[in-house]
Amino acid sequence: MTKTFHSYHCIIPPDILRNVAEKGNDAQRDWAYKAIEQSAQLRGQREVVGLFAALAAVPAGGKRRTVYDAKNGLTLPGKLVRGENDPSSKDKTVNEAFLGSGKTYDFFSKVYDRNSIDDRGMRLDSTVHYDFEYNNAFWNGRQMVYGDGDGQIFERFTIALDVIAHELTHGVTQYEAGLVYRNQPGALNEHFSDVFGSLVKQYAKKQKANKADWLIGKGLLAKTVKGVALRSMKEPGTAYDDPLIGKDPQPGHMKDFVKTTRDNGGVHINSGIPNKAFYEAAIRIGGNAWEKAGRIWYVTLRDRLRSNSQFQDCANLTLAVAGELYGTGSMEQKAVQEAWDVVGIKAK
Amino acid sequence: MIVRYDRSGGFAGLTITAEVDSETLSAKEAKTLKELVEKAFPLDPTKKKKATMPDQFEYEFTIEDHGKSRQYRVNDETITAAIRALSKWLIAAAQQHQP
Ligand SMILES: [Zn+2]
Repeated sequence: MTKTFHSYHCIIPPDILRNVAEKGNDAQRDWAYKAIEQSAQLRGQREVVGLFAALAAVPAGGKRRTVYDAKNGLTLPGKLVRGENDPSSKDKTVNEAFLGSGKTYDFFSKVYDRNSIDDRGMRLDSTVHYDFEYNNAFWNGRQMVYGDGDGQIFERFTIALDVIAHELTHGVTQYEAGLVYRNQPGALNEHFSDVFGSLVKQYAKKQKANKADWLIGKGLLAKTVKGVALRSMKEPGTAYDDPLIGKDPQPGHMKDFVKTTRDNGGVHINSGIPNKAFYEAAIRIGGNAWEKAGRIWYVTLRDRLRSNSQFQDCANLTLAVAGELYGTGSMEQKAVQEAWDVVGIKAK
Repeated sequence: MIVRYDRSGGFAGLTITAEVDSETLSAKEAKTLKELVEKAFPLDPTKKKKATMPDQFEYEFTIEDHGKSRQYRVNDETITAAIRALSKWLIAAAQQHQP
């Protein structure tokens, strides 16, 4: 690749972009995609639409993962330690991030025919060993970032597949509904990450809805902490109760909705309400939760929700989507209605 | 000077708080606190705030000094090395001076 490829200011002939988009390697395709996006914004070119199509037409199954090591520093992404075709690393954290993002990619691809985070084969970048004893994992708008945990409260954050799928789903939400990360839209953003976090785990374990644990972050809490996980979709508020970290604060009903300015308006707290609704819908429908309940939620996230959607909107839209997918008055639609009833929201 | 620290959010949504009153500190510690605060927050609070990305921590600092109160909010996108140094020191000091 030549230097000029990095400059978005120069005007690159569309046929060159198309060629790179269709035949280039991963890095070149990423570059072409960015250049096309840039020129679309700058010039509003008509031919750009066709270029996007050329990129999108690259055969599916293009699973591309890279893992970086921050070496306990703060610089992202850090040092490249494993690419898609590289052998496994001696570092189990690197391999967990690599395999976990692969399982999540496969889930979205096979179950919902989605090609990566942006549905255009975006490369899945993860950074491990971020900061020192960092008790957290996050999605920074471009990539997944994992801390090692301090060993006192948390283990390393790559230890649980649902955590990895949760982070990656934040990317999906960013490209689809774009739910604002505050108050009810923020709690819905968290909710969808927990839903697909749990479903990726259930899919990997081939578990039916009534056999799954519906826990988020099982294995993440250090052994000395009194708790089974960080959240329970089945029974919000029961995941942990410990002298050091307190009690799981999640509500499972609108009457217990928590008003707070912390945590962007309680996005990790009030997500318990829609989480419980999803669990109730999945149990009522039965079978594999990713097949019907998951599809209703996925289509709602992809096509119907807007950046400022509230819980009530989510209830109404999942009810409508259930009707569209499985029929008005179907068992599936009734299950969705009853599920929202359980948490105190009348879906209309 | 009283400094309150409040960290919320993150994947786990756990809140950590700490409060340090310079009156309870030795003269040397109080001087360190003052210096750390000055380094962390050289300017008045600005209205601008970069959005917190999913699962990042949110940090809120409240500083009461000479009858005035100032508040600063940062997140994992906007936190600086100096603010991190202050955070670390506050947590350690709060643990040490627990009643
Ligand atoms: Zn999250």
